[in-house]
Amino acid sequence: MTAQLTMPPVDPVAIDTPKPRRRRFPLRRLPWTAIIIIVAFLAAGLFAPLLAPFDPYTPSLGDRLQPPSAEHWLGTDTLGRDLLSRLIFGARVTLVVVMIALAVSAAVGIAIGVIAGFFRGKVDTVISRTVDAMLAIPSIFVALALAAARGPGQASVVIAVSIVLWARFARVIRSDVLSLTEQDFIAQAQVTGCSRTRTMLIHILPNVLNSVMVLLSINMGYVIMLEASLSFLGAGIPPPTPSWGAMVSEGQNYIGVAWWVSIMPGIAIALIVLALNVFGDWLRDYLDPRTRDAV
Amino acid sequence: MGTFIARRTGQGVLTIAILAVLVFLLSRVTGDPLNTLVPIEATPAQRENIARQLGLDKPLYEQFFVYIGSLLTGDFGVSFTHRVPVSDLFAERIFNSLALVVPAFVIVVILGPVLGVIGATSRFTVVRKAVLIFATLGIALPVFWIGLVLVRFFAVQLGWLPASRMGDWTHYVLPVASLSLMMIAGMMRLVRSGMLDSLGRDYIKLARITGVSERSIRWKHALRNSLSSAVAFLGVYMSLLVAGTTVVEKVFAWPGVGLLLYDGVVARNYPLVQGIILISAVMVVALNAVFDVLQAYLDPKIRLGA
Repeated sequence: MTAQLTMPPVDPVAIDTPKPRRRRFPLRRLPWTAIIIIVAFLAAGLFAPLLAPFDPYTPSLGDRLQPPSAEHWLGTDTLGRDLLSRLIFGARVTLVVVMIALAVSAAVGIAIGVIAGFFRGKVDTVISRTVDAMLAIPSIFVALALAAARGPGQASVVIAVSIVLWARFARVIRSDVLSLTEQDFIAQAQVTGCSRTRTMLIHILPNVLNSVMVLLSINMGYVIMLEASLSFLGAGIPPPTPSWGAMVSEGQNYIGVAWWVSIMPGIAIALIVLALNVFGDWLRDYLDPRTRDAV
Repeated sequence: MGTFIARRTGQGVLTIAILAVLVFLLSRVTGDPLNTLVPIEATPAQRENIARQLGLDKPLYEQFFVYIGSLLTGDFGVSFTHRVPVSDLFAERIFNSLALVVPAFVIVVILGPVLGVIGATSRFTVVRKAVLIFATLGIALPVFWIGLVLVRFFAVQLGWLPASRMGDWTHYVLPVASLSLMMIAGMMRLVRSGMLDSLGRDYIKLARITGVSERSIRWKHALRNSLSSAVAFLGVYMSLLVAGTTVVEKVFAWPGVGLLLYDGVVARNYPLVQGIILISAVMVVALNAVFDVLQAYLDPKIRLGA
């Protein structure tokens, strides 16, 4: 019976206004390139031991600082380890950090955002002020403080990122829920006797999933960049574990004689962040009925 | 406007308060704070002595009030490697950092809007595409990597510019360039999309009908309406600028606050890290508030909505 009442809200603007002028989008084919890069990244992370041609940990001092060649596609680093293999294992390290941090932040952010938007009033005021305050804290500060307090490591990075990131989710979800609760189907749900918990879980939550998808893909790039910066600053994942940011840092002193040690991991970071940004933008446009026709 | 400023100030104070509590809790909850406050090589007797001196033998809430009290009186702790108050070290280094941040900021404020307008209105498809590609790449490339690429090319390959340390004006070119690139990209993205949006509005048509020149329409009428979101961006990206400066100073061995912070993290010198973070946060949050007020001044919707 409630099935009819949970129809997704129709945006009146989308009906009344004429279809938006098809904007020429010069990078139109890019989402596919982006998706390929993202899939490659996920595959590298999941199947690292199968894909990597060499062991990423064992030093081989005879092969130090070899330039890219048929054997070592991307060259070797200061300890003679194969860069490509270290990049592939680095994807796995990054993936673990990203997945845990995003899962924690999304869960907390969605819960708090839904509560703020649904209950409004004082609850909302307190939550919104806190969220605004959190968003103004430079996330790198929290991460550096944590690294200095409990030492660098994967757990430190995850905790630091999550402390800041949940607020980004909470803010967007809250404003989504605010406009959702204006819709008739929520009032109808309440009239038919749904409890507040049921309304939030069954009627509101599914309607914010689009926003959650967009937030996830956009913030994934942000977390990867933050993790790389922290590792570069020695506050992320310590050696010998391969981490892209730390790899750039390791090659810094050899930039004159062996540019590939720093440049290759940098390209990897740039590619995945770029792909996630492009994909996130595309997803946002696609999921928004007002701009769907344009993409 | 008065209420807006008052609200915004309250918001800033709350941000600092939350960060101060976080910094306190991070060191106390994640392990024995003595590990972070005492040099690793200290003997057990020295540790006990320091614990008593710092009041770490007292209950947590009491420690918290002491901590907040010293922050309020401007005491940000003493670095144990330097044995000097953190605020003194900070004061010593901040001008070196500002020597990078201020020029980078000026470049961003000028180039961001100019490139944004060109990217939205140029007659040449190539130019518009180039601007869009630059905007997309600029926010995806890691700042430290851009710095290293610039070093490799301009310092190692061509030998035109020095690769590190402070010195005459040539030492400023590469760090300032790497610092400003990402922010230019971010700002011009916003201005560009703002311009595309405003150029389709009725008031622009009206201006065209009344005979306002195309140049004036672009650079005055449309640009002004695209600027408010860009100004808000400056506030939000203040924290990115701080992160960027830390990284750039590490790349170029630049003796600023960022390098001090890096040294502190590597040496696990918690009082130093904590002090730098809190002082910088006050500056970032204050600037953030200033930009928000500026945005409210530019955009009556925000001012009156508040």
